[in-house]
Amino acid sequence: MATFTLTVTNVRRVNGKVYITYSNGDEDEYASLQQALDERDALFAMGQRILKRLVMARYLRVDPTANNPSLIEGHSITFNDNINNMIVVS
Amino acid sequence: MADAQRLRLLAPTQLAQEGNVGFTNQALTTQDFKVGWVFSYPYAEAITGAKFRYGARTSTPPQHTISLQSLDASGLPSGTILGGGSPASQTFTPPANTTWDGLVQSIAFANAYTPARGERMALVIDATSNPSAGSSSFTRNNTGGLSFLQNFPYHVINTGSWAKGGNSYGSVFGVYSASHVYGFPLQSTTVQSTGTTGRRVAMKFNLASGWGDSFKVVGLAGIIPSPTNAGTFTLGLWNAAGTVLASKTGIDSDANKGSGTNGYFEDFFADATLPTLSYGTDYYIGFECEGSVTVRMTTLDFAAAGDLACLPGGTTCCYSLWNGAAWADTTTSRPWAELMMDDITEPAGGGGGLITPIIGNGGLVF
Repeated sequence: MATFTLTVTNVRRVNGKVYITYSNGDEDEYASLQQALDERDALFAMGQRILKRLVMARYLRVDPTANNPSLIEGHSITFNDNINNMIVVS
Repeated sequence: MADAQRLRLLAPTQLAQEGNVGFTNQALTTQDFKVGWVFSYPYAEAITGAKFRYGARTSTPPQHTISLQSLDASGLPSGTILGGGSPASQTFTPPANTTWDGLVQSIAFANAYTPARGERMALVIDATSNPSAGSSSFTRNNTGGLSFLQNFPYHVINTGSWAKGGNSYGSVFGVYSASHVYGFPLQSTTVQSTGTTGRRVAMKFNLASGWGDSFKVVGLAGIIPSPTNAGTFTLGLWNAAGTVLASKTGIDSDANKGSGTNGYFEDFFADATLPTLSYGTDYYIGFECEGSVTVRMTTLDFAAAGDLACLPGGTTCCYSLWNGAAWADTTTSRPWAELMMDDITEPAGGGGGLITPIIGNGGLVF
């Protein structure tokens, strides 16, 4: 089964712009800290749509013992504002 | 008269919104790393240069090369620069400061390349020398609000070998000739606004003479930031003198799905009879502040007015602000919006338009 891990490798601010670099080489640029926060808020506003995708990516599998795909019920993904898990930009 | 069935014109991109607008850059931190865009050029004419949006630099970036390359069988850059003995390429060295950060640069090739119409090729940027003392990143695509999932053109990345970008959002790049700009060399976006009564944020447009005899517009659609304050505002259509031609007043700002959100919006004029408009004439469509609500409009911003030639409608369509007495155009900005057409009337027969048929001896001669 394929795996995918994404790590934040660098966060910096230059002349007001915010740059967040990931282990896949992406350097996401935001015009301002507020725009980065707006992006975060917009992703949360999309909420269920994003979480559904994450749950499927994490848990949806084909049951080898049956002919139909099985969604493993009862699993969940939770976002929280635990400071230990936050990307801190000042 | 011909019902245009709300045909839409002038949208700079698809009107899709997901999150906030941003950019994703590709850092070229080793001499092997490359970034590029694969596209098809719509004209059989000499491509004389290219445009890219510079991301950010670290320390002292090395020299880079930008080139047009052919494609291999997988649709990836072949490494062969087009033009043979007169390669369509150029070297450039980003500055060791932030003056290029987030700005679109135009680079003229040492040699132009003339493709066949529809010829597919790649625009490639790589470091000419080892970026050991510093590096550059280049914007490869936009994200969020302009996230039109894009199968073609597409960006490509080389961090050892070429691969098509996994993030399939819209590519940011450009190539140009003496006559055209092709691609999407977007530099930034802005939320234009006014909270002063009687002032307007609008899209200036001018449909070219010869397209037809007359037309009618029934409304506006776009990615519009919804108002954050309570009250009403006006959707309007005005002429160059600022005279209202059509409108819908008293639009309640609460009549939106969300406050302050950037999302798809459409609405129609309230006039029982829509005005008949002329080709080759400037008009303005947008929102007027009625006093309590700050009206807003998102614009796509480019480095030069000429870069708007890459967009449908070209350079005759741009953002404009009415200050109560006159329109002030921002020729480097295009509203993220489109017209919805009510009527398109073709030229009258016998000499009113581009084509004049001559009938004789059993056939039509144009």
